[in-house]
Amino acid sequence: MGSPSSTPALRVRLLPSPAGWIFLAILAALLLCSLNYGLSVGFLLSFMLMAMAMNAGLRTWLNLRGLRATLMPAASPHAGGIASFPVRLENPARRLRHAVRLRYGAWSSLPEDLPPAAVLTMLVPVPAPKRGVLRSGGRLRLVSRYPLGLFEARLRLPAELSVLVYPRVSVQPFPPTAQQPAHADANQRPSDDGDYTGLRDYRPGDPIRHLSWKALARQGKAMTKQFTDAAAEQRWLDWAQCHAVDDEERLSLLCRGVLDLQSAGDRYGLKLPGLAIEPGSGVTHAERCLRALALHGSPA
Amino acid sequence: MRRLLLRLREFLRRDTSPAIRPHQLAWCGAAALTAVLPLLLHLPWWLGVITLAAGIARPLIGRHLPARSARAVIAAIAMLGAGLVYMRYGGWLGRDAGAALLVLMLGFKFLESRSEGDAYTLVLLSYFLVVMNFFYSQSIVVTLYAGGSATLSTAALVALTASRPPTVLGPVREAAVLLLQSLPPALLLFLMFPRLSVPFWGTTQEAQAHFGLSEEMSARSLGSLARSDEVAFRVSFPRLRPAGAQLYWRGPVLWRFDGHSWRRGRADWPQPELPTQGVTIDQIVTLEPQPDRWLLALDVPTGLPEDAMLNRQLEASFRHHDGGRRTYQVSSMVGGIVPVSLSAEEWRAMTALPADAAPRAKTLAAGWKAESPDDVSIVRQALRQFAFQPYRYTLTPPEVKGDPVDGFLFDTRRGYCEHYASAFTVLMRAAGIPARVVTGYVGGEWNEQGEYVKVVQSRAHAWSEVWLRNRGWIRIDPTAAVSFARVEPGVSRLDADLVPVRRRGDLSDLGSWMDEAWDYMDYQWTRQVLAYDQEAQQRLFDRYMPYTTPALMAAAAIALFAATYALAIWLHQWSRRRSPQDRLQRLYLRLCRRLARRRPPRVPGETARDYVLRLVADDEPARRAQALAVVELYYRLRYGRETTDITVLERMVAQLPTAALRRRSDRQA
Repeated sequence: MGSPSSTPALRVRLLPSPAGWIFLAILAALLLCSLNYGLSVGFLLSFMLMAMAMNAGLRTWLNLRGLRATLMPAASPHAGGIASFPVRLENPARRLRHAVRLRYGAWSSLPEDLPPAAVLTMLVPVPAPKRGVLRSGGRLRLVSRYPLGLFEARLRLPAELSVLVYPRVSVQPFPPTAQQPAHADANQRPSDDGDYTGLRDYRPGDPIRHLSWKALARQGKAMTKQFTDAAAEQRWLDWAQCHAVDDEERLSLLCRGVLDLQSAGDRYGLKLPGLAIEPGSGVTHAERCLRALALHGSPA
Repeated sequence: MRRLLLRLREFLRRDTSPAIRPHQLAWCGAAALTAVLPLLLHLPWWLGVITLAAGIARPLIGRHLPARSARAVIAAIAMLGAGLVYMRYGGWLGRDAGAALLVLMLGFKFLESRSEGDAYTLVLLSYFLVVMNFFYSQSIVVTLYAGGSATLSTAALVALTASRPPTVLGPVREAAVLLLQSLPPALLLFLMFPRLSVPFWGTTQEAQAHFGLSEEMSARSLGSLARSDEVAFRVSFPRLRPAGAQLYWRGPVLWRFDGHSWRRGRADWPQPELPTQGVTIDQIVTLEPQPDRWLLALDVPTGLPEDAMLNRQLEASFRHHDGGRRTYQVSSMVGGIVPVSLSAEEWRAMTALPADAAPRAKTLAAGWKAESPDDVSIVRQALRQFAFQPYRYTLTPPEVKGDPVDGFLFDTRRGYCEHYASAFTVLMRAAGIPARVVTGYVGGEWNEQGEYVKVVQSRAHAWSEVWLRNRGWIRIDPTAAVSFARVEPGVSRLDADLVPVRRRGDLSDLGSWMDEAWDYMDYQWTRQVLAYDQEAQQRLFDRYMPYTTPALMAAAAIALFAATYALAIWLHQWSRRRSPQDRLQRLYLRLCRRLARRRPPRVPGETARDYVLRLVADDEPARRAQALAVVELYYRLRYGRETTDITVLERMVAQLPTAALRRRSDRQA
């Protein structure tokens, strides 16, 4: 991102639009009529229209030239939803860019204006019907027909749209599992109900809200506060305990379980045939679990 | 092949553009309306009603009728309209029918346009209609209006393409800029693009082409022109200017009389004999479009352009005429007498009268001849007849019963130029004097500013020529004999008079000065722009670029065209180099150059700041701090929202002392 050299110049291609072809036909007819009937002013107007169209073509080409577009990583959707791929548009020039659209296959965005030195993010929707890795082919393009709609300038983005799709979220909640008693484990992560029992060294992954600021200020070291576990629950989301019709349904239930427990802030682990994820909590842990669910059964 | 057809069909049917929005419809409607309005003036009233109703009905149909039945209703009314056009014009080809159909098409397209693609088609059709106007008139006013109409259509296109509903003036300004920028290359192409001398199809007739002198004169044939103020032609005189009484413009000569009408005849006459005495007057004539081939010039034309010919009756005509506007040079000998001798056959033809025609006139003429057989005195008698008897000059004479000539001469005694000319010629023939009717124009208005004469259609005139022994053909205008007092009020007598030059300082002159000025502009416009045909183009090339052919000119025009666009692109590139981002980049590179002479290449993924720090890693702390400060400012300018002037950074970089070569060798050691 810090490179000051411009991205390799992406070629802007200019083509007549359907309206442009009609315009060409009309222009030819006008010229022919003026020629045949000797209409001097008809000539003049036809030539003006021709020059105007070429001028407009030039402006359409310039409208897209120099525009920078980067495809950003998309947030993973759930199966049955829509993946939105953000495209970051940057206008480094000093002039306003008009009516720029993104086009991907049959979908095209609404036209947007880009003021000078502006940055705009547009989202490309791609349907994600199945879980797993979604690799969407096709061409992602920036197009513009400004100012007269007679020409279309196209800028192709050399990027591939791929994203990991998580399983569908089940409408039924995950059945409650048996709870396992807490282990007196020095490796346990502290939970937050209970009494304050002391400090220990900060380990990456400890919740920030347990960080002792006073210790940090005094000693310059990061320490986490410890509390007693009121009721250390560790939940396991177990494949074997899902009673569902088929594998996909099971995965859906497990997915629902992960999301529910994540939002409750509990610790949980995931057990899949061939894979077990130790209990944990936090966003990273949830993503790990979802990823495992998404990729379950796919070849390595 | 089949696959190709299927894809073509899909391409034609596919219209994935979004639905049309209200503001877009408003722009399209405005563009279409301005394009259509002038045409409606030339087309039947019911067409205008149908078209405007279609425009107004659009919101109603959208709201009250479902889409499919609406489409059926629209199609039915459209077909009805097309049928009416066919009935009115007897076909669908031709200027009026074509214009009518196009107007209908536009109206109905407006009515049933649903998507953005339809809107574009609508505006493009408007362009076509703007040019259709030129089939009717190419005057300055019409041209300016067409320019405005085209601007509005272009503004509509801009409004359609915009991302959000634009202001009212924004697209108009954009369109005006686009069109004005396209004017210079268009003018260039206008001058250089080759013209046709013969059309591909049809003729180059325009609206007023049905006005003109015909080859036949019967009752009321010239009357239709009598009220028209349309310009027939304009004449400049490079050297001598004729006197008012000499402004007779010679057209077709009619010498076959059947009792009711005069016609031209075709006969194998010998070559014409031209007058040798008199004053030669050169003229440059700009003739408005007329259907016939007549070359109008002062009586009698003697020096014709190359593509014209003169016949025995001294009628000048063009060999090829496509009905369009022309400019030509001609010189005439004015003096009123053409000395020529007549063969026996000619004599017979020029004195022939049908046996049953004008009995009373024949008797009258016979009486004059008996009194005094001298031709000159007979002529004088006839003129006296018109002058002293109660003849009146009027444009609306009563119907004549029976023989037209006798009825005019003895019963009604009221008529206009063709009655007088016809009657006089009949009298002459009855007296055995060869006589013929000459039609053309008389007089004109002198335009002081442009120094030319303007002749309008209402100046169409008919007079007579008689052949006197030992003299030849002499022009006699019997209408001029009618007493001035007996001209009907409100009717200007068609005198061979110039409108007198106005006295200066008179306030009422302002109006006439403006009229003159306006006509002068019109004249220049007609002569320089509208009459720019192949001949004019050739003359221009011969004068300024004598060694070029049209093909070379066309190639040069295209090359200049392309060069203009190359220049535009280069200018754009040049202005981009001045853009702030590029300047920042150059400054960064300059900074790096100042920090170290021979710089190691940048590792991929290394940020700008890290690279700079690497460059100055071995330098003293002061220099390191300076470099760091510069990079910080660079970062803020490039990626932040800071509005610090870039010149601050320029100064800082300039103040950084350049790295010495010595340091590098130190480092290596």
